[in-house]
Amino acid sequence: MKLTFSNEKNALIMSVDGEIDHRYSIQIRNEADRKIVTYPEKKFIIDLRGVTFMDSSAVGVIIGRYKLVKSFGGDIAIVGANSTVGRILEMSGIRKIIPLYQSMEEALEV
Amino acid sequence: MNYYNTIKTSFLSIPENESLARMICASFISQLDPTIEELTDVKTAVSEAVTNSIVHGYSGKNNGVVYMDCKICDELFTVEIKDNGKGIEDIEKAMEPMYTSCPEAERSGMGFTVMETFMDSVVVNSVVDVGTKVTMTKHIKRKIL
Repeated sequence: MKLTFSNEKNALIMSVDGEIDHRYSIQIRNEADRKIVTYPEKKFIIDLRGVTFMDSSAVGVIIGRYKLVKSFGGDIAIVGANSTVGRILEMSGIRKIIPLYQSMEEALEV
Repeated sequence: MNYYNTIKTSFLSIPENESLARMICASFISQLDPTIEELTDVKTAVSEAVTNSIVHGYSGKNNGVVYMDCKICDELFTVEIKDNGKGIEDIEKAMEPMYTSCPEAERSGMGFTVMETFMDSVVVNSVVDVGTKVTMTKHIKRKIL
């Protein structure tokens, strides 16, 4: 699993490549929280376009970041979800609280 | 019965072995030439069960042993994931969607729901202070053997 952070148009973008399971969700949580606390005013975008596998551990980590970002009054969005990722997201009900965009351009515009 | 194959594995209860368990299962069922979706279903369900053993069964201790046995009987794939951990007091409650015994660890409480959605059957046997066994089956239409 590879985690990359970048800043664009006043948004903090976290791009995840590879697999998200329980092991990697701990790493994502720790690194994401450090960045979010550093840039609390920014919109937080989780880029899942490079994710090849994820289980429900990813749901826990996304909901946890949602709560943290909201506690700072920020916004959060998800970009990209292949069929594997999409099914878990759909099942979790995350899409009812976090908008999902197919492209980064869309997510940055809103 | 025309075709039968089985493997037995055991590994330490460390998070690094979650991906190993997925890979073992994926390699084992590849002999049935599953679709990508069938393969992902099995990998996801196995990931959930093995994570449960590590996180809940052994409470994150890395010296437990997780046993994973896989079986193919014609077109029926069966995987049994067992631990000798603390067991589940109330299986019915544990299987409720969104229920988690450790919310502070940001567990989503979706593990059993995912297993039940992606597999054809999920049976949980557990005895407190003895351990838990999760048995899952999935029919994989055989294309090449």
